[in-house]
Amino acid sequence: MPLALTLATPAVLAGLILVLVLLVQIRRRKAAEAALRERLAFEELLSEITSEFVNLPADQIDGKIQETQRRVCEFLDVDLSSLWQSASLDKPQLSRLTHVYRTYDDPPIPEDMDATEYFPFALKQAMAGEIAVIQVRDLPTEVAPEAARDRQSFDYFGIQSALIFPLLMERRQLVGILSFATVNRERIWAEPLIRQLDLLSQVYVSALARKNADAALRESEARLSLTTTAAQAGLWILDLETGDYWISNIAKSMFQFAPEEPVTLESVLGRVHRDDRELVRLAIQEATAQGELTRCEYRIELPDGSTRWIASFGQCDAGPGPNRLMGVSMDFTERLKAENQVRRQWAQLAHATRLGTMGELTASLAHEIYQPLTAIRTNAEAAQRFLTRSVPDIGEVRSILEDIILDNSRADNVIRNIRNMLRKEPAALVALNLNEVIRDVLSLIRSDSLLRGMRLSVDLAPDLAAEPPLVSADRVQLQQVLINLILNSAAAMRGAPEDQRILVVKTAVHEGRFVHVAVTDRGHGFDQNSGNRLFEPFYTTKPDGMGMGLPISQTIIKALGGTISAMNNPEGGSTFSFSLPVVAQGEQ
Amino acid sequence: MKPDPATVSIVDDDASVRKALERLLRSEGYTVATFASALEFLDHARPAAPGCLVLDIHMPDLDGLMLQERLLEQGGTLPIVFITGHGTVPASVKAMKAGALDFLQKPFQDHELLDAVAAGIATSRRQTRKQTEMDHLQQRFSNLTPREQAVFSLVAVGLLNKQIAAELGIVEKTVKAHRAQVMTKMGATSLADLVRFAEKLRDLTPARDLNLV
Repeated sequence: MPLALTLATPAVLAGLILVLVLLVQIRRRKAAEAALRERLAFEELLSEITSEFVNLPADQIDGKIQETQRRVCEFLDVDLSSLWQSASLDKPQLSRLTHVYRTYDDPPIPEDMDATEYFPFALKQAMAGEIAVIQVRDLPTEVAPEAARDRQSFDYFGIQSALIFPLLMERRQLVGILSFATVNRERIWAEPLIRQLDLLSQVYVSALARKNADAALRESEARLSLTTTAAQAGLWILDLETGDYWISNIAKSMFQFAPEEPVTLESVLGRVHRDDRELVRLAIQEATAQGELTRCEYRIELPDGSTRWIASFGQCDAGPGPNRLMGVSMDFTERLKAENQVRRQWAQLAHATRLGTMGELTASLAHEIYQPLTAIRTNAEAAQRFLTRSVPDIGEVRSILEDIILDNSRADNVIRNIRNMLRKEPAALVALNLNEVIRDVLSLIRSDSLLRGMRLSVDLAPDLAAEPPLVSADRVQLQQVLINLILNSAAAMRGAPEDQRILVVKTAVHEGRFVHVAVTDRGHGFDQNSGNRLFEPFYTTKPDGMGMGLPISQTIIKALGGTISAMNNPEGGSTFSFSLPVVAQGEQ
Repeated sequence: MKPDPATVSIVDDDASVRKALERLLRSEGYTVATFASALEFLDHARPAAPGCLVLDIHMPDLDGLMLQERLLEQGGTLPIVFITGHGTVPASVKAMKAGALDFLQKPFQDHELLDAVAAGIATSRRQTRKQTEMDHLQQRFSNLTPREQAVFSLVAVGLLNKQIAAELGIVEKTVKAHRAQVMTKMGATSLADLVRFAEKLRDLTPARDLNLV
């Protein structure tokens, strides 16, 4: 070179410089051209990748992500790409490493690695929705002390440069991160490359979102299918404009349509029992008009001659689109049969218990009949005497006859009540004034030996008298419950001191919605242990008890939509009470 | 129709039965007082003698047997006719043992009740008569002077005038005078009368109080 310099004339020098400059320019242009080419090539790769995700089946998305990570890394000469997702939507930890590509195997990736914990500094940016561009050497450990943890983690993997993209769903919710990194070498991340990779991260986000939605849909479909199969529920969709009817296989066999048989609203209605057809039509109209879930129970008559009970629930599709009624139908014939069977058995048991109770009450019942009979006879005999006087006392005889008529109807009532209690007829719900039922019961059992020597305090709510709130119940069943509770309380006081034998029957109205009846005694109460079992069948604390009184009472009250309960009083003894909903107000 | 000053009390918690019983007894000419419960009877009844109580056994609070017991404790002698709807053997036995006059089961015939009530009133009347007699006797006895009472008791146990004189340390003539006074004051016409009176008085009251030896 010194020779050359000495040889060089200024002109030569100038020429050389020019050549040099040209050479540099050419090289620069070539480099720029190469960079442009590379960028274009990468863009081509990205658009290829993007198109590969379009219409990709959901189950291939994970594999495609991993494969494209590899292609991108190879193209860019990057050593590592990882994709982390949060464990679930409501957990911010990015604890699942779901997709990874790397050119080396060591060191191993720790199990249960939580990116949030290992890279707090980088993740803070991701959480703020920003892209983290990291040169490990330049991590600002002085201003951000947590970056020391990041450095430790990066060093573990040998990473020197990294790019971390937040994966954001709608409303900028962070669901994961996508990273690219170089190992044992630094790399400058050019701005255009960062923007291109960010685009890739968005392709991944939408692919993952589609996969999640697909999984959710699949799960919901699987659940629905499992549910409908398990419940033997038939699904159907009725297009209200075209009248088209789609029904599931279960529904088809429920209505005994052949698998290939076309189904229309008319053919379905044809299966419905003649008397229930109008009911079904009205239910469809109601569901269509109100847009609310509508329930309808009806009978269908099948080609094989059987009759089944069907419960259908239907609801109109909300929102735009075709006007459709969607629903589900279930055959509850067997359940109905079982329920009827149970009801019949309970009724038989209740009747048997009633017979038993009435048997025990015979003496008392006889007394209640003999009282008016005695009065009638004695009155009649007195009347004869008043008539045989030298001056017959007609006024006295007239009032005697009036009393005889009254006593006759009194005896009549007692007998009617007894006959009702003994009869074996299905329960008939009528609107009843509870105070009257209680008075009837007391008139039957008041002279029972159990109640003898007992002070009976009857405190009937006055509001039950004027405009009585009525409950819906079967009179005999209600009488049975009352007799049970009153005799139980009386029995509980059998051994109590005389001045404590007070039995209180009380009624009250709660908020005009419930009538409450309480039977209180001052007996021995019950211990907590048996308190839990009082309403169990065959559980009894009485030596001669059968243990069916309270279970039957509970069954009766529950069937009427009421509640029954027992508690010990703080001042001793126990209170058994029940509530029934008020169904109407006024005269019976 | 015979006028009868006897009062029949009825205790029955059943209003119709009470009213019918009252009518039947009224038709027989009795004065009738009715009570709806044993407590009401204890509080308000002023049973005039002679009388009879018609009592229902089964009543709330205080039943018929308990009322009978209370009345006996108070020294009452009112005859009781029990009526009951379902007469249990133990109850009737108990009632009869405690001195019940009769025990009727509902429904009964009019004459059964009327006979029982009539018997009750007869008993009551006898008791009344006896009581009156005793009252008189006691009254007369208390009118005697202490010395006359002493002579009365010694005569009644059968001592001769001479023995009485020796016993009391007085002369026989004085004994004779006292004895004449005793006969007059006690309304006795013979020695036999005196002995009978003394026996009745002894039944009624412990001997010591009466100075009867």
